[in-house]
Amino acid sequence: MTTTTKSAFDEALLRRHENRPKRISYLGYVGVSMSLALIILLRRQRLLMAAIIALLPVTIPAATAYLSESEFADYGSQIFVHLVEQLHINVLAPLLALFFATMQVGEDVESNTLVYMQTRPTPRSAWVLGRYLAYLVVTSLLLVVSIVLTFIASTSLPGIGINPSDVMLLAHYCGVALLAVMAYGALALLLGAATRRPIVYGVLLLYGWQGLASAVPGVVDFLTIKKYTDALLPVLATQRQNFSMETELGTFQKQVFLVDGISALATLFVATALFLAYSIYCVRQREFASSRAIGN
Amino acid sequence: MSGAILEAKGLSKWFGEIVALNNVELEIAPGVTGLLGPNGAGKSTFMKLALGLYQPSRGYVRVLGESPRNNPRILERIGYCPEIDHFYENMTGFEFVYHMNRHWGMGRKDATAAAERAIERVQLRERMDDPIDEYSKGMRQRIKIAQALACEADLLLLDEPMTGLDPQGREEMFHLVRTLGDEGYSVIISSHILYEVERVTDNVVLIYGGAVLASGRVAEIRDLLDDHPRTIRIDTPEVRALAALFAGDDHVLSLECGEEKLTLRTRDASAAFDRLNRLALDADAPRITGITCSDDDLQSVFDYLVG
Amino acid sequence: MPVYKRTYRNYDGAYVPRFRWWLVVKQEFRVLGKYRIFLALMLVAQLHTLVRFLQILAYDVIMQDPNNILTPLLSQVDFIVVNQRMFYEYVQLQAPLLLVFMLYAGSGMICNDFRNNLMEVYFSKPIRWRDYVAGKLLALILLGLSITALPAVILVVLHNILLPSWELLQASWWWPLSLLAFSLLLVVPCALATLASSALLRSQGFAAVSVFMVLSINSSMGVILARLLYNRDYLLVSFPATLYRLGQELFDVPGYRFQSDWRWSMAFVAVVCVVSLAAIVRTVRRAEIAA
Repeated sequence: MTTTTKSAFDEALLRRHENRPKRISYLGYVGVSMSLALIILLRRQRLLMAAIIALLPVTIPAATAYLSESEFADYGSQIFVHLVEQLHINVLAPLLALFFATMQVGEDVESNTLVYMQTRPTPRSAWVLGRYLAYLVVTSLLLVVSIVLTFIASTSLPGIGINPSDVMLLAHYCGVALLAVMAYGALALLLGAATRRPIVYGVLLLYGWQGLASAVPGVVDFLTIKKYTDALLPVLATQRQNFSMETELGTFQKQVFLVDGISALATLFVATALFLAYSIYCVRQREFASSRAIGN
Repeated sequence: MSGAILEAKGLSKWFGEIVALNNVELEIAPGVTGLLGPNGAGKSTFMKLALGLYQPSRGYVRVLGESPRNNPRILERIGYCPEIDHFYENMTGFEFVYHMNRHWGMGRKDATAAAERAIERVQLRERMDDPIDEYSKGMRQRIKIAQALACEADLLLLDEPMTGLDPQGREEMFHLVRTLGDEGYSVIISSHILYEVERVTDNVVLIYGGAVLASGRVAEIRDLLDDHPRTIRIDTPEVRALAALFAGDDHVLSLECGEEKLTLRTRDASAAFDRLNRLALDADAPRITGITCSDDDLQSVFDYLVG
Repeated sequence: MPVYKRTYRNYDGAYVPRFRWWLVVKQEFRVLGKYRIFLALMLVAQLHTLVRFLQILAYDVIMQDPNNILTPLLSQVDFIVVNQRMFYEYVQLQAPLLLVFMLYAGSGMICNDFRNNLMEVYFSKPIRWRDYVAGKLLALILLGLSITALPAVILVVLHNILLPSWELLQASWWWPLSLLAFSLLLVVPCALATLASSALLRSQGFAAVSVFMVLSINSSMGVILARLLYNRDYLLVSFPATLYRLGQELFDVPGYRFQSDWRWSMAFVAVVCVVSLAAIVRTVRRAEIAA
């Protein structure tokens, strides 16, 4: 007979209640979630792969220094500007967000380890924020290192000296890259929490939709993150007429519907907060195992 | 707190058109309770509802007096060993339990001490610093139980914890669950293997097709089923002679002769046992070497209920 | 202690020694067919076909009729003309969707089998690694062709039916071949790369994002390098540009027109295919031996 009598049970309950350790604070939970996420990230070979890809832009200044046969106009800091805008901010930031942030929640869902987290008394918001912060630390570090190395390669290989304004430019670009990482990451995290195939949706959204909305004339590009990160670049990207294919009407409209720096900054922060809030809501409300049970 | 550690009223859960649990009315008392049913019966769904992983489609479930869904107060008092066999990659057994403790909300020192205690308890101390990827199925099962035990929970929900354990491992697990029950833990253990549940408790909930068929002690459930015929297996070298003696009795429904074995189905077990006692004492009667009432085990109870 | 007979027990089922890979293909389609989102994607992929169908209808029916009131209007629109460029552009525009399809369907094909211990199930049957790899690959290729070559060839046939003439037939008989070749050029490396990623990584999500990441950064690097160095030949670095360039050769339409020989582009594609195939075979053979 193994059924415990009520008094014995209550006695044991009381004893355990007294012995139970005191739980940590909310910030402690965020830290715990972040540290586990960092351990998971740092122990994977995937990090090495992401680092290699993030550092690839550094090779381009080297290539331009040694491969160029024509007298090209772009060199030194101009190459750096092209690379940071075209690669780091508009390609690498969303890519790294897709690579790391979608899987912060998505991997737990995919590998069925989410159940361990969901059955702990960790506040869901603290868990999500911890994961997001881990992503932010790793990705920001990768991207900033890549930007700084690209800057060094762009200026030192052709033998151009670094002046203080260039350093300011570097700091500015690092700031914009971090904001891009922040906003793209929050969106990617949301996709991981809200959908079962976050990568596919991420590709469709960040590349399909964002590419389309940026090319189509009109105001639809207001619904992209790129619009606001571009607006924060040292010289507004829309005024610089770079290589993107635009119609006359499209160029005209983009110049009319410019976003100032403060609004862009505010929008990125608000969007990040909204994405994170919705991610937390999804983690609280979604029945992850049940969606698998019915094959959605 | 009321007497029940877990209480469900009209609890139903459906996924699209699939009804996983249907109108479950249940109260589970403190102690060890076996949740028994075949695969797909709704045991895991019931456990997930009790953990708050699912929102009930209808009705409610209360654990330790409160709704468990997104309720840290309740979750800190529940330890859960899931059925799934998945872990974080590149992690040792100790690290896994330690991080789970940290997510429970323990500080570093407490988490370390609790992890070591729990691992000791499942007898995995020697291998706790090895990567989980290198563990055998049984060791993985034990480390899952360790993470459930580590947080000094009042209620332990163990979903198919015997899966993958070797006979010795099972014995150890039976012992552990019984000890936990004796120490005042409430344990709900699910299984589709009747023998496993019988080894740890006689307090069971039978689930089939998303509905609770019966709950209580095995013997009590059996008593409710008096209308059903009971089967008695008699070991004897003189099968035909013994069968001839029972052939005329009113309570006998059928007789089946086997090799040194007679299987008797009766609607009145008491009458059959009286007769057997008399025959055993009679020197002229066929020799009886053994009697087994197979209906006392859970299998027969379950078979009756499922029909 | 009983001693059991260890004689051979005959299996009643019919053993099919050939086309065992077809079982793998069927299984993949069965699994994919269960997902509504996959069916929705299939539908979306055919939207472009519908637009091209309307274009062919407009060109073959309305524009050939000088009395139709829409003819003057439509003749102002350059891109309505139905020629080999239109078919090249059709397949080219399907390419991004093809990638999404490959990532959706292919990224989990091998890693999910590993995760769910299905490798042991597959190789406990009379299925060998060749059948397994061929089955998975063929499933993806068929899927890819179903949104590229297949609708394109149907459109070519439709164009010939709506505007029947000996001249058109003479001009367009090779279009289906080019369509098939260009589609295969897009589909095969994409399928192989996705499967290789799925074989090397143990997570479907990471497998998908890795393929996309490599492809995306490779494409951007090629474009930026070409721009910074003012030399289009550096576009050769970009794998998508290389594929499109080969497509342009197949359809004889002006486009990138690198200075470099097209064989270099072909070699690039071949290297990607061989490396990917090697990665798949290595992983699957190991699993077969382990099973």
